[in-house]
Amino acid sequence: MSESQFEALIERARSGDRAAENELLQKCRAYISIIARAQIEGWMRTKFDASDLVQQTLLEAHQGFENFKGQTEAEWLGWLRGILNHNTLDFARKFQGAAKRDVKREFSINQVGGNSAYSEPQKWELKDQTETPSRILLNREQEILMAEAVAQLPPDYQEVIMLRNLQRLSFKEVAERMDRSPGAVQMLWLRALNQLQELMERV
Amino acid sequence: MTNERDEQSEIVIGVLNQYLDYLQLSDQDSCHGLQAVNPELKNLMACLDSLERLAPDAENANRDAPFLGSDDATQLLPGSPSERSVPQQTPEFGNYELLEELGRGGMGVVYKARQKDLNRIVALKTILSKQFASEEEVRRFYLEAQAIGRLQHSNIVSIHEVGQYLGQHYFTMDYISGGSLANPQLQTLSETPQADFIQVACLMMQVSKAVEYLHSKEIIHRDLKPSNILIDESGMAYVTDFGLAKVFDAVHQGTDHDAHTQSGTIVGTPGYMSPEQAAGQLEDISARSDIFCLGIILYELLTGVSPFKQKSPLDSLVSVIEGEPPLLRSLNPDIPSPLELICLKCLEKDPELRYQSASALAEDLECFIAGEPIQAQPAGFRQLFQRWFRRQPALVSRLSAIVLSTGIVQTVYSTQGVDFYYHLKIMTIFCLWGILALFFQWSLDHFRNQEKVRYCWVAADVSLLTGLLILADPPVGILLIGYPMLIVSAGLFFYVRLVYFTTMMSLLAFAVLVLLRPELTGPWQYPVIYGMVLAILGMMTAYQIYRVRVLSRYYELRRP
Repeated sequence: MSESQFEALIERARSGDRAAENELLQKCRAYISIIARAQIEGWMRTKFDASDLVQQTLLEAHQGFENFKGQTEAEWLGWLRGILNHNTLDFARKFQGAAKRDVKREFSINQVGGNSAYSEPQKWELKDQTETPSRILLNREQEILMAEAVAQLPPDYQEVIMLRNLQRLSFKEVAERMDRSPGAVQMLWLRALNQLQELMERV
Repeated sequence: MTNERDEQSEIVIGVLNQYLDYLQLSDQDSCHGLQAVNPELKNLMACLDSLERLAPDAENANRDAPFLGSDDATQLLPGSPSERSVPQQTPEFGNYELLEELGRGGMGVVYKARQKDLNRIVALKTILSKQFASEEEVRRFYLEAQAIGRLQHSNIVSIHEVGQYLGQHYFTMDYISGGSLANPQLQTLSETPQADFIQVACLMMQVSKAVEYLHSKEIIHRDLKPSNILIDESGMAYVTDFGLAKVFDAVHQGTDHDAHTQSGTIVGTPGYMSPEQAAGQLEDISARSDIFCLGIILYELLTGVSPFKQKSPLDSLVSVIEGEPPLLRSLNPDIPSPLELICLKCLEKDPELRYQSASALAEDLECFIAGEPIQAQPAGFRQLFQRWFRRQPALVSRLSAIVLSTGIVQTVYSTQGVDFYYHLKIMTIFCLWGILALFFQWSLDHFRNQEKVRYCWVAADVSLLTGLLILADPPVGILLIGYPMLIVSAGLFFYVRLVYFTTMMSLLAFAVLVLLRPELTGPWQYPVIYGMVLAILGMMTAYQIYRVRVLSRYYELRRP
């Protein structure tokens, strides 16, 4: 797999190749899913099924595809992250219920997206550009592969990775959350990492 | 067997967990350190890297928070930013609690730390493991560091312990509370009256004595600079980081017999090096190199300006090898002239002309403090001229060329009696040239936009040369050597664009010259060949500069 594969897919999708666009979106499903889960599970402090969010994000990406102006995979992932970001924020707001509505919030909802979601791709791209330079230089494809690898792990391995790596919890907190001893959680983590590494090598 | 494996796993988990902590704190240096000591875990660490990139951006989360309204954000988002970036209140490091980060250097990070068992405050310095290539080097480092740990001097920061925690090598030393000489609050010395010059001299005397002690133990510091000189509250100076450069050197020399990594390696900090260090002449580095560095520090303390610090490391190196800083008293007329003499004597390019030992320097400083005559003597005429040349090479070289040329022209005029008006015209151009050179040098020293001045200077040179060639009696063929000379001398400024500019100017001027002086177009192809040669010469000079620039950038990147 090389970087150009993604760029080729983007190129083809832009020229109207439906299959290419589909492939492009499907390849990123695991990636979107894991980021959404990491974010929302971090907020809610409980497990969460992100499939609706992922579906919504992929759908919006598909509908708004002509608004995507970038060429590289980094730009593509940044764009996807932008759409996902506004979806997760939407979700977070709903999750909070119809709590206090104030003028400020009305304003911010219009700002972030809602119906104007894919008419503002510029905004998302700007967001992506604010990432640290080192992040932009890195091979982003590795992230997609890693997300796929995580998705293939058994559930408890996935959970420990999710908590320790993606939500940046300490082992003590992870142990509480998973209801196991810290030692057991650490061993689980090491085994999960080893398996991840094997999966990554196989690609 | 299983027990053993469990133990192994625990160590691996410990290291990986530490690595992840560093990663989540974006502490690149420490990450590299752990990577280097644990090569067998490289793949797993790469996994952690990838996973970290998937994790929601801490920055992003913070930036999004306002959209939710601040009250909501606290409920929704895990932890405030400060909480997130510092997972533990006081990070532990083996027997130490890391209280605060004091600074970062080429070798690693320095922390203020509390030693738990003795309950004392120390400075803890971590050493990046990439400094070591093998186990053998680590062992040698420990031996040497222990030897240094035995040094005792009231103006030296002593080393307490050398050790390793989770694969990270470190050592601890005295914690000096006042900060270093590089601290801005101490830099205001030059603005206040006489008494402060005595204070500076006192400080430097203490430092010189400490350096003398190091030299007596056959240790050359090699990285003396303001940030390596600490001052406590009572104003005592302490030299730190001493000898470690030499330790590393000894370590490398022991293992590298072919010495290919050795020859020409530049050790030290650009801007705070002696010329022999900057030129990479390692065998020439001696105790007198440290004297030069002491001179740099003294200069900086007196004037508040670092004498050789330039924008890029390359410029610093060039400046230290062949440049001469402005005279101290031109920057601050209040500086006592004995101190200036002492400083300039330290900054002599030739080690033979400097103080031959740190104690000699300390004695002279003592004489100055006591108001007695000092040993350093004002420079002779030759030295003065050399220094002037180093300080303003462009001006001095042009003036010399002009003086020589006018001398020859005058001799010819006096002996052969050419037409007076012709002679007058030639002489006027030379005079104009000399005055312009003086003017441009003055502009270089006084205008902020030096680049433009250089361009103008080059343009003036080319025009005046062309003017001369237009006026001169035929045949002028041989005198065309002036253009290549201008191109090559423009290269001495180390700017590719300036060389191209000079080349273009010369080509243009040459074209004008050919039009005005038909005799140059004898066979028509000669001027064409000459023009092409000029262009190629310009490109070659530019290419050389480009290569040096690339090396400079490489050197800059390699420096952590």
